[in-house]
Formats: sequence, structure tokens, C-alpha cells
Amino acid sequence: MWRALRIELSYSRWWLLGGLGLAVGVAGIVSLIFFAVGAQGPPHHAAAGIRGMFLMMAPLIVGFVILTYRNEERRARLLMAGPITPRQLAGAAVLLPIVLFGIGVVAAALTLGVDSLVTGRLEVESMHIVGYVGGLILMMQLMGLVAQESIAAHRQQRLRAAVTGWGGFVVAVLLLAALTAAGAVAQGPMTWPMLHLGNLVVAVLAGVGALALYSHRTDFTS
Amino acid sequence: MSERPRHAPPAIRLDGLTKRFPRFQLGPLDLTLEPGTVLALVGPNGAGKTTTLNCMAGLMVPDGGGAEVYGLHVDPARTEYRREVGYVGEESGFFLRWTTGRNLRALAELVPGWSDERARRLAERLDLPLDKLVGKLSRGNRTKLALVAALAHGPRLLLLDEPTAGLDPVVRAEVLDVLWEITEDGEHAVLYSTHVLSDVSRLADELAFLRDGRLVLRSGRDELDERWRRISFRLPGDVDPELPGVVEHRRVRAEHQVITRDAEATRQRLGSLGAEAVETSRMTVDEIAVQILKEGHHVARAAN
Repeated sequence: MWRALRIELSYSRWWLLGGLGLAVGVAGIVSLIFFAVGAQGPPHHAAAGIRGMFLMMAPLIVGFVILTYRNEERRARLLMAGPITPRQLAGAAVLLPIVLFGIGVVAAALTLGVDSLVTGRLEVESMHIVGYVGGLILMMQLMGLVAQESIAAHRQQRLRAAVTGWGGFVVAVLLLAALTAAGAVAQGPMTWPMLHLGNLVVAVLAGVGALALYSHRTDFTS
Repeated sequence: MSERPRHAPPAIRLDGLTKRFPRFQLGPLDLTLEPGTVLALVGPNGAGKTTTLNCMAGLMVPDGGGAEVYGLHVDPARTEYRREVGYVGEESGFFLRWTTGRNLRALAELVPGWSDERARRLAERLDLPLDKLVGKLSRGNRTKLALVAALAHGPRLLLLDEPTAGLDPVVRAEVLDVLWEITEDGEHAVLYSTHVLSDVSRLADELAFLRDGRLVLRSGRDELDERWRRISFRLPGDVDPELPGVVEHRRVRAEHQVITRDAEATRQRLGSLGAEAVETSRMTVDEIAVQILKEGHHVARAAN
């Protein structure tokens, strides 16, 4: 599983490095603009948030590109040339966006860390915004895997699995909506924890669901 | 074909292998392939050839029955199984933005028993460029890459799904040469699907004819060559005699032409009927295959 994941990341390293490079470039330009406008510009936490956001989003957006290539090039066929269980294949598919999220977290944390060292202020609000948007994109990627595997299950005549997948998808969306609404209504110190919890719960549910659906595939040709 | 030691398991054993799709069912399929044998799966599009190979390669999970390779259950997760099997499919999942050489290095990390030396020799033998992006390769070169990838770990069983389909005659000849060299040692078993029947005469020891997911007939190539004939003859009177083995009979007044799957029996019967001007001609593998599959179609439809 780790070998499959490593090869896939190695294959996409230029996308990844390009994406991060672009994000660093944009973050630099944002810094210059904010520096130029000085005190008349937006508050400092906005600048920090925007920089962190770009670095968090870059690997996750590259993740969509990687997943598209992997499906287009029918990677499972190649990976199955080696001894690999369906669960390991599934694990590699689910772990890929999680690893990219991790890279995004590290990149964003670095920029926010440097920022707080320079300014001597810890922008907690910016960290919450960056984490929330990153979590949202990760959750969407994992939900995409659930949808993909539900469609595959339907095509493979695994109707119970397909119904369970789509049912889980709907429940996850409702749950996310409920927790997001609760976070918005709560106002105050509970808002961000509720919003993060919504992302986390749905991401975990989607990851486990995608893993279960993929592991029970009966056709690895597409 | 080499002699198999006693108790040695067959290269392939399919025992009631079944795979169901909404509008198609493969099997139940029973098939055994001895080590050192080349078996061609012949059949029209949608006959179940690719599905059979996908089930053998572990890319599809059968709905019923069993499949074994050298006594090992088909299990994609098992290292011993992966060592025994090389598979060339219609698509191989290569990294299109990597060169052929880089793809082979990636495979070296995945495939148990991989030999860089064997891969290099095969690539040289096939004149495969190692520095070109796979996405830019011609169909012929992609097939060559798939062959190198399937053979570099020295498997004893090769599963080939239409390996020469869509190739120009020169590349086809190169690919067939390599396959011929590999099978010549009598140690490799090969199951390959094709509807390029001219390949069959070159490579296959045996042919299995599939139609509508069922095995219509399995026969040795030499046996087919010997038994199938086109016979023309003259019989006085407007009669259609009952002739053993005949699968197609055409008559214009006293002139008859038949296709028989048992030439000897048909000729004997014609002798006893006093047929005149009996002329026998050989049939090509293509012609024989068409007759068998036409017949098989009737069998399958009657069974439905």
C-alpha cells in the first residue's frame, strides 16, 4: 500500500512542487501588496490567512489532478501486477488525499509560524479559517471517492453496496449541514470547534466508507 | 508440449468459473491447461475471452467456480501467484507521463522476482525505446512495453489478451517472434485470446472456441487440420444424403459441396454411396473457426 502511494506521489511530484511553488509565489505577491498598502490595508490576520490558505489549498487541488490521472490511466491495473490486496489498493486511494492534506497543513503551519515569529502575534482566527477550508476540500475529495465507489458498485451489480454508499453520502452531507449550522448558530468560542468537527466527522465517515466500498470491488479493470 | 511430472498441478485449472454481467454470463467454464502448452481462446467480440483472462489475472472476482494457477488459487495478494503469472491486457495502467524506462523501474519495485537484466534484454530484443514518454508511444511500442513488463519476472504462465490486435505486420511479427521464442522451451504455458486467426497457426498447440460465454469446442490445432475438410462430389439424382460429420452442405442438382469435421468418416460414407469426382481440399484455421463458431451459436441459442 505504501509502495503504491509512494510511486503515485513520485509520479505527481512536479505537479505538487509546481502547485506549492505557485502558492508560495501568490503568497509572496499578497505579502507585497499588503506591505505596500500598509496601515490603510485590511487587518493583518487577513493577510496571514490568505497566505496560509493558498499553501493549504495547493496540494489539495493538485490532489484532484492526481486522482483524475490515476483513474484515466487505470492505475489499478498496473498496481495489481504486484501482490496487493483490494484493501491495500483502497488504502492507497483513500490515503492519497489525506497525505496531500498533511502536506498542506505543514506548508500552511510553516507560513503562519513564520508570520507569527515576524509579527510576534499568533493569528488564531487565520489558523481556524485555513484549517476549515483545507478540511472542507479534503472532505470533498473523500466524498468524491465515496461517489466514485458507489457508481462502481452499481456497475458491478453490488446493489446493496451502491445503496449503502449513496445513503452514506446523503447522511454525511446532512450531518455536515447540521454541524455547520450548529457552529454558525452557536456564535462565540464553540463556532470553530463545531465547524472543524463537522469536517472531521464527515471526512472520517467518507474515508471509512470509500475504503469499505473499494475493498469489496469485484472489478479492477477500470 | 513437455511431459508433466506426475502430480504436478496444471498451469491453469478452471472449475465452473462463472462471471455474471447484466446482459452476459461467462461460464460455467471448465478448462485445464498443461504446462508448456499454448492455448488460443478464439471467439467473436463479447464471447467472454477478455473476462476469462481478467478473472485469471485477478482483475475480476468471479461470481462462482474456482480458478487455479499451478495449484495456487487466483489471489492477487499472493506473492507466489504473482511470480507465476504475466499478463498483457488491452490497457496496462502505465504512467503515461513517464518514460518506458521509468515505468519499468516502477514495476521493478512492485513485481516480485523482477529482473532488471531480463527486462533490459527483452527491451533490446524488441527494440523498445526506453527514453520515450509512454503517452507518446505507438500502439506497437505500448504492446512491447506490456510484454516486457509481463515477462521480466520470469513467469511460467502468460495471459495475453489480444496481444497482436491493431499492430502493423512488422511489429506483429516481432511480437510473435518473441512469444515463439518464449514458448519454444516448452516450460511456459500461454493462454491468449485472439481473433487474428493467422497468429493461431504460428503459436497455438490447442484452440478453445468460446461463444456467448460458453466453451463450444476445444481441440488440438493438428487435429483440426486433419479432420476438417471441404469435399466436393457428384451423386446422381436429387438427393441430400445423410453424411457423418457434415456441418454445411450445398447442392446444385447432382453437384455437392460439403464441409465436414470428420473427413475420414464422410469420405467412407461417400465411397459406400458411390459418389463420383470426389475432391477434398484443406481448410484454413479461419474457415474452420467460422464453421465451429457458427455451429456453437446454434448450440448456445438452442440451450437458451
